[in-house]
Amino acid sequence: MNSNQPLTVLYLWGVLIGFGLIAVASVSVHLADAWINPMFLRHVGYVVVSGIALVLAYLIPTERYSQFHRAAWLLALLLAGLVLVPGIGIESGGGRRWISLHFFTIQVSEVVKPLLLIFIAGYLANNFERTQYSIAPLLILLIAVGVVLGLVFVEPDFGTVAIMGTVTVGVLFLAKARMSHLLLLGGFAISGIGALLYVEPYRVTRLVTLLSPWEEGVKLNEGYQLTNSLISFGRGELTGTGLGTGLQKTFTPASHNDFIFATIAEETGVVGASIVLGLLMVLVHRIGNIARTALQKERHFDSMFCYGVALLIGFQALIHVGVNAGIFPTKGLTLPFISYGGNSLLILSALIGMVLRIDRTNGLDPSK
Amino acid sequence: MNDRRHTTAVVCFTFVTALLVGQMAYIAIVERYFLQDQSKMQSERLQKIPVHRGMIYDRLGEPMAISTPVIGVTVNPSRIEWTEDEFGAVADILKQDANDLRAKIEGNRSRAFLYLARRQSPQKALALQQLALDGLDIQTEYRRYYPLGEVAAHLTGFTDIDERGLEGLERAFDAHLEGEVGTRRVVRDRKGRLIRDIRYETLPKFGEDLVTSIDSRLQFLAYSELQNVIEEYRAESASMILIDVPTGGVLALANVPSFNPNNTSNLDWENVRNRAVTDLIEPGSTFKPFVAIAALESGRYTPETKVDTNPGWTVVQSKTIEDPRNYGVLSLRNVLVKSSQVGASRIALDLDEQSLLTMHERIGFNNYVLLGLPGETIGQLSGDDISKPLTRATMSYGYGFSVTPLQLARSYLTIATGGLQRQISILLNDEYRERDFRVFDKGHALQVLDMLSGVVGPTGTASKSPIPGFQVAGKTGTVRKIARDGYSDQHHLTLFVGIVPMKNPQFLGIVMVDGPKPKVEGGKVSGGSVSAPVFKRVATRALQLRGVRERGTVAGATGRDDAA
Repeated sequence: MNSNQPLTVLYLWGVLIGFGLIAVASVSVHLADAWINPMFLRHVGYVVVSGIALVLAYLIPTERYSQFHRAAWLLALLLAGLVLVPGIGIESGGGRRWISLHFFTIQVSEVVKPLLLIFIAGYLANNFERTQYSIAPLLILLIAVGVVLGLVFVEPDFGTVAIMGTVTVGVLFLAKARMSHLLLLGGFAISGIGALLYVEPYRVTRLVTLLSPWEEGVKLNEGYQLTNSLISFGRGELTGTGLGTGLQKTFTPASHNDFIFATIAEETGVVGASIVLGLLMVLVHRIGNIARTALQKERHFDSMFCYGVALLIGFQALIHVGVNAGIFPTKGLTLPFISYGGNSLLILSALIGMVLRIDRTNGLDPSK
Repeated sequence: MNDRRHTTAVVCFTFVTALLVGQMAYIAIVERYFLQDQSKMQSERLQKIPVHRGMIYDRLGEPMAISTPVIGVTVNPSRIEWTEDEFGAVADILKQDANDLRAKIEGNRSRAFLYLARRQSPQKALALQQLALDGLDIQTEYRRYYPLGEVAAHLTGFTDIDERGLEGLERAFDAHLEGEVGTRRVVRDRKGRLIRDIRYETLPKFGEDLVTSIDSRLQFLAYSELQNVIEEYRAESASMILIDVPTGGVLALANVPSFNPNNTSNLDWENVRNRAVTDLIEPGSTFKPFVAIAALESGRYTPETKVDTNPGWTVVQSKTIEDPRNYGVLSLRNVLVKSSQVGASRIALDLDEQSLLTMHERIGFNNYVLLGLPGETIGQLSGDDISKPLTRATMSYGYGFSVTPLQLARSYLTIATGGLQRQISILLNDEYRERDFRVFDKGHALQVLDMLSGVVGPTGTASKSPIPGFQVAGKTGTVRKIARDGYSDQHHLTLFVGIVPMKNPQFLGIVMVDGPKPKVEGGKVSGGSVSAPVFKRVATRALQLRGVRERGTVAGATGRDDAA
């Protein structure tokens, strides 16, 4: 393995975090009429804590997690359940998604992500051979993950459910589950989505909005976020209006998290936006390569875990950009490493720390 | 096998990434015009650039009407989603009730524009801006302020809340005073804060100033003297016009009771009426000088021609016309000095049938003065047959037709100018003023002027109102007002028209007092006792201010401007 790869992952992490600092400074400037504003300062604080989390995660050997993958699942289940209990879960913005620890509020959906990744990797490592010919481990895995995600769905946080569901299937694909089995499960998933649309018709509205956001009556209501996001791209053209000069961020709700990519597109143009997306994809690719190396060395937990991390970052980035650019239905998802938000940044950085640890192990391990 | 799955994943990710970059490029390049139009619809606004009205000045440069900046607070009710605290904060600043405020906004949810408050002090703008509330906007407006207040209220008039002239000069010269609001295209963010200017759509045009011929010092004096006379004689109303004879400019025009143009919320419209230009009065004895001119013009009279008024009364068409006492044989001069009804009647009956009617027309009683102030009217003739002796006799002492005080002032201006009709103007240096034209022979006018100096002389009807050091020409009038059943013995209108200095006329004033009551039971009121003293005091001050000294000769009273 080439020796500069760990540094590449670390560099990419640093560059993306830097982009995030600039973007958050820009979208928050209109909130307080100053570059140094409370939102930006908090984001700087999260970045510092995230750096520490990355280092700490790097220091812990991954065998520890693999032993506790069932405990990780239990903890995820516990948290996802607790947050639904009034008095423990904090209600805000039409959902119960937070648990307060007084000095810090936990966004349960974010914490559930690494716990499920550990569980999936651990379970698949224990059943690695069986997964390739039997459907049973697939079903067990999907049921175990499904129970946790079912609770997350009740919060409600459909975005996390969609992401983690896709990540689970993706990891199974890379774990060499049979295509026929995967297609069967895929059929179930599509029926599930169909049932969901039937039970909750407002999701159909979301889809219709995507097709005709400019219609009168839609534009200023369901289509408001989307049309404002699209206007950002139109204003940005190729090279953007310049950092900090974006106008649409004042019109777009959630411009600091779910729609931060639109502001990047407005201020740095398609060129800047493509660079950010490209950097994210290079990071995903690097992590994928680390996973492949671990797989070749038959360290299945490390391999499956890295694939999970790569797919998590990859899917979340693609869906965020796709939502901003109007080809996926409007769904609240942050852009990894860029969006404002302490939980997401902290957990993603810790995951990067673990990936770096695995890469180090790859290098040390005597080749088979 | 290993690498196939991995490679498939890499290909899928690369494909989706490329798809996204393509989609971004498509919307950013191909759809940019549409999207940028949408952006303009959302963020570009036409912003008004408020302009203030021109100021109104007197001839000395003292302000009579000023525009001061204030703010109007507006909201877009359809976009307001304020918290309880925010409603409270706004209500606090505007000194309104928070619940009322909320109700007002809720009640207008479907609208995009609503005034919360107007004419607020500019200091409040800062406090409101600091709240940075969605849907709240602050607009600069101007509020009119009249430093002379009720003293010049009938001159300045006032504007409505949008600074449109409603009364007085504000209305008469609205087009001149008002500016044109400019507009500029600006980019605003969601909270309505200005991001940048794009361009001016229309340039603002500020209102032009108006310089009047008014002398605010004399205006003050006239107003306070009218107040005094009303108090002294328990009169109903009083008006005065003071004119600068050389230019025809109005130096003062006052009516009492007046109103406060700075607070027009509770107006008594009776007081808003500009009596000096709108009220119709019968001129009474003040018409007699024009009978004298007609007599002189007949060639059969000189100032010394004798007129027999014995025995102090005469019967015309079975109506008795009488003097207060028997004046005996009077010269034409003394008919004016004593203001003899019998004398004036006998002269009128001696003249051509048409001569007084022609005189009425020549001195402009059929025409508007066109001062420009709103509500100006003109008098009317009763329509009685002029071939009847009684019609001519009553006309000779000023009954049977009506004029406005302003028209009466103009008729006397033809005497003061030595026979010239001169345009009366409210503006200093009025470029649209008509040229003088001759109405009377200069000699006749000067003879009548000379005769009128006797009125303020020791034997005249205004003998108590001489101005020390000056010869004053004047004429009194005490008019009985028409009541429900004929002329009233109780309700009088006292008039005095004065011109000073007699030999070089500078000032002409008319004083009208409506409904003065005698100071003692059974006493009498008259133009000489009630109105003449007002003229005396105001004219004395005017002479002092201008530094006029009596001169031995009558200077040619043409349009020489030696004002102020």
